[in-house]
Amino acid sequence: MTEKLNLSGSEKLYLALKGVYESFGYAPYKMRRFEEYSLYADNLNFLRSRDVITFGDKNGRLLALKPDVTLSIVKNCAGGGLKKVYYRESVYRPEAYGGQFREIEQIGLECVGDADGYAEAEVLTLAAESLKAIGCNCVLELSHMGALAGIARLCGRERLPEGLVACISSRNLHDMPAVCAANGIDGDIAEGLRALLACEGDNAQRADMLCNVFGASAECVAAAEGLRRAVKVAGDAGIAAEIDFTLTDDADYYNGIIFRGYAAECPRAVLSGGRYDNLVKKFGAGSGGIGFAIYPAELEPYVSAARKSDADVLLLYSEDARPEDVLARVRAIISGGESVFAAVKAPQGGVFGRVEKM
Amino acid sequence: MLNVALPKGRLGEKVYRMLERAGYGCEDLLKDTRKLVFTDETSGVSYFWVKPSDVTVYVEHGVADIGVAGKDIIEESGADVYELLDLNIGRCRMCVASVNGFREDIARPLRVATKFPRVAERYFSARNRDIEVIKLYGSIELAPILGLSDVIVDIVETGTTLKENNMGVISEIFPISARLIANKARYKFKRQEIAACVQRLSKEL
Repeated sequence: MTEKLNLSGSEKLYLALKGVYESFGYAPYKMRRFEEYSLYADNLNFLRSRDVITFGDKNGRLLALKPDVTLSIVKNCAGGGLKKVYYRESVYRPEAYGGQFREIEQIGLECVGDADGYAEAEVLTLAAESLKAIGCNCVLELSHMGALAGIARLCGRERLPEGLVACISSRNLHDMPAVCAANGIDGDIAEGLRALLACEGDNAQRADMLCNVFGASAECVAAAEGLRRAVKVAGDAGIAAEIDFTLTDDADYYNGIIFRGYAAECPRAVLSGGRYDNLVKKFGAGSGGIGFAIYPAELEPYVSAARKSDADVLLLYSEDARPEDVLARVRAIISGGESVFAAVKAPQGGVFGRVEKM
Repeated sequence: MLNVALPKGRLGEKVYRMLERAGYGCEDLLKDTRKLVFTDETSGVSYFWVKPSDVTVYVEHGVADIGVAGKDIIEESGADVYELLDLNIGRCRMCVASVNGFREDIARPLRVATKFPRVAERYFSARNRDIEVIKLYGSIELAPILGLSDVIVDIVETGTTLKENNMGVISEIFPISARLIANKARYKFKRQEIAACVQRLSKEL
């Protein structure tokens, strides 16, 4: 059926994911393309880019083309307990190179309200299932915001200095001692952090190392436990998981498990998500939330089957041919399973499997 | 097979010599040839020479698994890559400099001439200093001498050029050296190969 509909790779992926998400009780969520700009202005750190396309409506309100989906969903999900929704939406963000705005498709889901431990396991399972739906060699990278928060607390800080977080997320162990020293981070903690990031052991060893090195922090111990559970959930869903403490996100919003999905042929993460209780509480939408998004544009090697020709058949008809005869021949070709481009003259630059004249 | 982007020029040749000693040799790489891609099946590497400022682009887009770029290029590009090793070569500093005796007028934005606008923006915005960036592509030192800018943000190696033009360093922004970088996604799937390369290169430092 889908072959007959000539669905694109992205559309097939969406249909597969839709079925999976709905079977777990997630409802489709459709939203407008724009929101009031103040929603984004108040939550700039949550956005991947601070550049937003804005415009005024006739009442003088400043609106913005959505640069993000999660903020809108959380804002609109306040009250009424747990909400489970999935979506396929466009967001508008500037490119990293060149800075031109692009319309970017996102498929994702959010579990917002009183998202508990089960909700977390469910969302991680669905993230793993989503990666499986791509149908390639994928890895789910896992980290926990509690790990860095716990380490910061051991340093007597609310959060780690920006320069140190930059070193962590770029796996830059060589500049780390100098950055720690410049920011007055205790030598033992700095060395422990370096050892944690350099750990080449398996997932169990990495989680154990977090406990062993930073066991004085209850947050680190809880983070290690959360990561062990997440690894098991991903494993049970049939996806390779890897604990990697270099994965970080904004601590104003994310507070628990965070994750990225990577596919073997894609140069960037194809899936991104995490637990954002802080955001949910900020909007009075409950005690917690967790979700993720898949970026079909990043999946180009898998979902875009380049068309070899414009149509299977170029049907060239004479100018005096009767339209109903041409249409009958077109229908006959289509019913034979081929696509057809009917015209009097061949279009310039067109590529066709075969040419038929009538 | 590891795909490696090397920066064209002396630095790249120096880096290749390190890689060769570490067991990643490729016979034809330094020969005078018009070839662009050099593969050595035995060593398990495929090299390509690119403009130094393009190394981060090739690595971030995953065309190269790893590459070698100066810290100046990494900071200016803002590339989302792993920085796995300081190769301790090509050492210099990113500095703010101006003509000797320069006195800053804090009543107006500082005019900054540079090839590194993002580095300059970040450095001065962290100090809450309003600046006007003047993007130049070469002979940066000329800008404050002729009054085009108040200061420059540029790479200082020995400081000789500054001295000869009656200029001096006002402050150092960060030290620079060549770094081994890696694509984050490729690292997930070639972790052992890349980690082995880092380990072998570390022994050559």
